[in-house]
Amino acid sequence: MILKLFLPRKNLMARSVNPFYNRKSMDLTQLGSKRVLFVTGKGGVGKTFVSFALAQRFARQGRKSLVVQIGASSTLPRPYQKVSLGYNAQPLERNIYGARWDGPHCLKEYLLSLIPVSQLYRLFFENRVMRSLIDVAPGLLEVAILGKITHSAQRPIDSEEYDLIIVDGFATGHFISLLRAPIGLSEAIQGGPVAVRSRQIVETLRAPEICEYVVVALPEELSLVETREFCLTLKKELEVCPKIICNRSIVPPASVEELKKILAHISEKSVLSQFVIDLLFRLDIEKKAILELGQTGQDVFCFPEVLNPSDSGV
Amino acid sequence: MDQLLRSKRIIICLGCGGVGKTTLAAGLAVRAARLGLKTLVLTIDPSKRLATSLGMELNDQSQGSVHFVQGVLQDLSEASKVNISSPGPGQLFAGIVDPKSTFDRFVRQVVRDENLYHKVVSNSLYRQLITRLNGSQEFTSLQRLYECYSSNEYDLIILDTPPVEHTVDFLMAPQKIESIFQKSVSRWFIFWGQKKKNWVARALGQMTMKAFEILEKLTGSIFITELIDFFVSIESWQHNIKDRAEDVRCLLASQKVAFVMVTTYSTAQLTEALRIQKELSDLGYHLSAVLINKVVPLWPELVSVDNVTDKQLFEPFLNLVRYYNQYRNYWLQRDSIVHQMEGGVTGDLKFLRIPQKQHEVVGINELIGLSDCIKTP
Repeated sequence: MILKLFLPRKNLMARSVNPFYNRKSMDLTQLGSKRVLFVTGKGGVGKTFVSFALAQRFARQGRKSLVVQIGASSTLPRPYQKVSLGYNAQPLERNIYGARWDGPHCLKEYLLSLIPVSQLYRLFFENRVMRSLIDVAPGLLEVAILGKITHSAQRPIDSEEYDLIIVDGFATGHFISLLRAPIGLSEAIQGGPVAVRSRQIVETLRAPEICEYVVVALPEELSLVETREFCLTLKKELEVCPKIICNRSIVPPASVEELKKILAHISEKSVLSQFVIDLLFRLDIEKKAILELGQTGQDVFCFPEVLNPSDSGV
Repeated sequence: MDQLLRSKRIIICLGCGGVGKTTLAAGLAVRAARLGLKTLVLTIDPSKRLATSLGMELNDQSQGSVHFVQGVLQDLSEASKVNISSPGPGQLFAGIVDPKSTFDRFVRQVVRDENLYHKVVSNSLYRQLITRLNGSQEFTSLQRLYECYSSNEYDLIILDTPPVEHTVDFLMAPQKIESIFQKSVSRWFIFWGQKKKNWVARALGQMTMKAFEILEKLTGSIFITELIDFFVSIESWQHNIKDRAEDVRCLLASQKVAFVMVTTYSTAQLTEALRIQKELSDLGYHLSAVLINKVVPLWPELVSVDNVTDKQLFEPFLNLVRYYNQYRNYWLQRDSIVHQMEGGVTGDLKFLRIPQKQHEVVGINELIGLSDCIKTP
């Protein structure tokens, strides 16, 4: 029944499929079956929202996930608004944990593993010249973060066993340089343990049984073009095929036919009439955009637009 | 807004990724040109279609280079002229900031000796470090801005900024790059290169020697050798980076420069705008306006609605009305946040709303349409 689609839900995601479009239903069992899920997308598309929504979905299926935020801090969705995530994982709700892994912290942890004698480590890390090198070294912090992610993929973190690590990654532009960083670093620095580790990281990122990638897009033209380009780049550089989540798709109150019929029944000059025309126009643009997204050959999943703020925090 | 465009020499657009900053920077530039000003817009990361509309060729960035033709430096990143269909004297030029060629030009300016110049740019680490160092993209954008400003060719220059997560980092980044070009840093590396000599151990101190040994173990001796070569090659001109960074800072703090921030209706970003205003003023810079992009027009309250006569449409109609109200309330809430901020703001910070366009703004006509919407209420 159409009415039921609109009842506010406690969870972040409205569950039902929009029956008016012929698009992939929200069968998300394909997602999240590997060890690490990278979520990326242009700024403002809703990566954080999607990351937590996915975590909630997996939690209901009994899978335990750790949502890791990297990059700048973003406001967490409504249930966790007041939470401040730290380096160590903290429980957010049943089967969902959160953490924030920043570059300097990850680098410090990594260097400590290489220079176990703490005096020597401090000597190195706190030396002014080394600090300035670390500050400007291209990709070093990115590699440190990726190192922690790939390292964590295969073992418990802080004594917790996770089924899945969801990485709320940088926006697509940064994401590309993030993924290129270990490659670049291993080319610049050919010898030593840093180089070896960088190459290991690249191997793990490319392993389809370990890492999975999702791009969040909006049903808008510009977003499409960028998403397509991003998918191509990812295929070329990492030989991986990301899945696409189309966020904020319109959940129309009635089918297109019904809307058109209503239009015929109400006064042309009325506000409602103008609104319906606008809505039909937006629906049409979105439909074309989603069709185009589907043509990339990747799987496309649609997440609905949430207009009622009590449902979500974004 | 027009007053701002007429009275300033430089306008810098800040904002997070995804808000439409590059497009708005172009829109602002179109408006300025149509007001009669000779305007240059410098973009960082334009989409292919926008770039085409502005007459720019998006080359593969890795191929940007500086050529010498008969001993004269050729600038490959000339700004292209854009046709804005305006009868007035204004002109619009558009350019992309190319980090590689900008930095090469900078080095060429400060390294008088042609042989040394070639030695510097052929150092295998130079290419990598210079364009990928944290802070280098920001440094080169500001350097390019400085170049264009100093040429006195333009009435107004509008600078688009890279989509960094923390937009004020853009202004702080050049200080980061400065740190590696400190005389003291390169001295250590040069000394380390001569470590066989006894006096070096005394000059560096045991602690630093140890730190270097660890670095060598971690990264291998080849990398260290290249690093040392790099520092040797920049020794004579590295202070220019610091000098230039200082020149830029002074320019940015002057009355000739205005900052505008581009956001969308998201609460998080609007709060961020206020925080940035404070950060900027702490640095001595001035935020003049907040441009709220992709604003959806507010729908009026539905006062009386006659129901449809067709029974089959009763339910869909009800849902439609409910949807209308939800949609309306959603945007009303966001608008009220802006009103709150406008009320609470000190100083002369202006808030402008720029409506969402039905189609993506990529063509020049659409840019002109957009530019007509950028005005203070």
